[in-house]
Amino acid sequence: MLSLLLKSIRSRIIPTSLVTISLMASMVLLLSIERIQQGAEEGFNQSISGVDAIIGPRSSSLELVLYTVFHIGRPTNNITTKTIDDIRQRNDIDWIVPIALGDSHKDFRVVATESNYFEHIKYANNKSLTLSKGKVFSDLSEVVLGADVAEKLNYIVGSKIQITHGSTESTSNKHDDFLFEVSGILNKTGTPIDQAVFLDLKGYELLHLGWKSGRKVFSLDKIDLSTIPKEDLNPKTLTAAFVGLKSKLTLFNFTKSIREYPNEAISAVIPGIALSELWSIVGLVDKGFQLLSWIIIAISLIAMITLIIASLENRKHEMTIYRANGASPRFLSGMVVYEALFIGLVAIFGAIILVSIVTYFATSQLNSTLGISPAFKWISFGEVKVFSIILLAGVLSSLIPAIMVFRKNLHQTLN
Amino acid sequence: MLKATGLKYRYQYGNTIQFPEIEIERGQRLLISGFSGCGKTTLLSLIAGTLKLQDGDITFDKHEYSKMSSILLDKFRADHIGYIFQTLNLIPFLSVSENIALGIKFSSTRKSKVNDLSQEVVRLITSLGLEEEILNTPIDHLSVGQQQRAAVARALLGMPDLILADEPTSALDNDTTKKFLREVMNTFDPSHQAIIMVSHDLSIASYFDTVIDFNKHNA
Amino acid sequence: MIQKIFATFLIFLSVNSFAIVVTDEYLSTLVSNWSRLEPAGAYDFIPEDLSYETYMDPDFLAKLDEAGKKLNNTLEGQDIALPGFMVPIEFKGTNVSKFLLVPEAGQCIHVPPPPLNQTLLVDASSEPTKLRDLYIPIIVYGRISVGSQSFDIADSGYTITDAVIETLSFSDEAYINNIEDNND
Repeated sequence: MLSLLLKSIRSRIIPTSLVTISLMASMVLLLSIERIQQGAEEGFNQSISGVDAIIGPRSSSLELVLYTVFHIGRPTNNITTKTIDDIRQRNDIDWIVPIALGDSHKDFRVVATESNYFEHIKYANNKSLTLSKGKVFSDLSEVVLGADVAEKLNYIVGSKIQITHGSTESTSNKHDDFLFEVSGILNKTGTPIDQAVFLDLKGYELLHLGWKSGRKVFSLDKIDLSTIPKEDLNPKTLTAAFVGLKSKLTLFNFTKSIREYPNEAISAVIPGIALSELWSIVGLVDKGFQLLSWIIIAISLIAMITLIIASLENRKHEMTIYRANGASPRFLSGMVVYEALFIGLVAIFGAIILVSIVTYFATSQLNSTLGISPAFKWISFGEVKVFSIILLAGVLSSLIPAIMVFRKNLHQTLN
Repeated sequence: MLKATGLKYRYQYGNTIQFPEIEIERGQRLLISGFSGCGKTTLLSLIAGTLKLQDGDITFDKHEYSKMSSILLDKFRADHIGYIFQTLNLIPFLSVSENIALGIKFSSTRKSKVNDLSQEVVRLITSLGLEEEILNTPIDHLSVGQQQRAAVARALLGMPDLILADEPTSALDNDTTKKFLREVMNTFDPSHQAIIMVSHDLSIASYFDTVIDFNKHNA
Repeated sequence: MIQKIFATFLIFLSVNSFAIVVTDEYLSTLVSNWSRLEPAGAYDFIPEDLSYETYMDPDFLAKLDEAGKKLNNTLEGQDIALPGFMVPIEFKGTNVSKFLLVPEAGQCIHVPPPPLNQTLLVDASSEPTKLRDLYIPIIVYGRISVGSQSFDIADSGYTITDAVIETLSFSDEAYINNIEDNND
């Protein structure tokens, strides 16, 4: 039967191909949306680990997580170093890592922080940051690079770089007099850390020392660094601080007392909650797209059945010849069902290949824009379920023309 | 071999037709004549087993049609009967040889009687007056006469017992008809095959052993 | 056509997550488990006829705080089932490997936090569970271990291990009853 079926399909190859492609495309749509969303979610979730709370100016919690962890968006407010120093004294805190954001180096974000950043900040289930080369900065003129920065810009330990005040949008604000030296390069993490440049807070302050009212007043190479009192190199404001608590159970008491801190309007954000909120919102959009995709799939299936029914008229002649030669009506209706099955399977295989291609490009795009690297997989159990449902629906609906054929041919005069 | 008695068929639009008694033995050639549209195709369909018996009996070599389910009838037809249509016998997207091979596709019995398919196909078509090149010619390049001959080859492949032909010559001109019938009668095996042909053309009666005039039996 | 409707229905079912529905009685039993986390007699110092003055007295409040830190050591190693809400701490892919379980939703954001003996760290690292929104009720089944009461080290308070987590779904009746109860 198979060779007869294939030859029959080949004689109707154009409409059959169009219907198959339409079915394939709608499945690719459904699956790609799901995969991209999952990949992004996974990547985001793996970007931070072990941080119990993030202290920042009182604003949207999601925003704070986005710019401190993912370097998406920019901080609009600051908190004072004094407040952080005060909070440092608390009993329930195990460690605290302050950060300052706002500068960049050739499109990569600069994160100013203390050297304990590399000890406490982890990713993907408690994996520590490790250096592939060199060491953590120990001097204010040293920087540590994320893996992608070093790779894309061809830097090695010892390379000298400049840092721009602000983002690249203000390209005129360059500090062309002072060069920082790369002291170490981090191993790849698959998180936004790969795309960041790390600098000591004192070095960050130094960067801005020559600037008053947004204008460069003096050049750093004309000043003897040793004449600057050490205290002056401590930044007065910070963007945020990552906190690890001694006992996670005290988390809510901690966030409450930060919220009630009398001297400054700050709050403590729990990363897990902010991310969970993000995924709720994204999830709604995702469900909307999914519904749309299913509708398109249903339409494609209807098109397939319509095509088969329409072709039955043309195939009357073919079917009668089979019948006269001994084919049973079951054979004939079987051909119809197998045709639907065949179209379905071809569409599914095509969809798997196309989805893999789409996923590949999407993940590399996610990687280059956000620094996250979700895992690539050929097919997941949920997707097998989806394909089975579609195949089943296609075969079940082909029963309509199959029954039509069966009844027509059951008792017929041969002509 | 085959006996059909008391056949009556009522059509959807109310008509009932009474068919004549048919009896045929191996080696015999029967012509049933009558005007077009008087039920000849219905009769052949009943004998072929694609149309369910309403009144009357058909017995073929001790197999009683009235006792057979439609699945059994289909199998029986595949094994024992070869059918030739009036026109459009061939499926356009299959080659000529694939079309002919359809004759044994649904019957393992007939398949087992053919040792070398391609050899047997060549033998049949040559005996029917066709050239070997025809096997690879696209269907739409064949003349009607060539198509009908290919249909006969299909009906004869695997040596089924009974050949049923529904006005196979009505699209052919006189000379081609004579040549066609000559070749058909030469090719079929009278030692165990029989032919029932239906036609409105009484001039071909000389090629047959028995002629039944249908017109005289209408109810 | 019927086959298509049926297929669409199947699609709909499989897309929605499964949640267990529990009876009111069972839910009450589960909710009462939270009080087992408080050692017996921890709150005995609250007088029968509590005056407003006492209620606002800082010493009294300090005692309340202290009582909230007391752990029930007899629960060590026991299996327990608790209904509550999830605050994710650690992710694995799109699932959650560690979370805090609290008795009421929203306690980390605008409502006062629960006492320390009414918060549990649930360790689902061996089998990370689906992320649920903060306001989706869940039931956690697992084994309790009791840690330090000083809450200045990582192994403090209650931890649940070998956790099995299920989403809780209220039948309409139960839900309405709950609302009425809360309005009393």
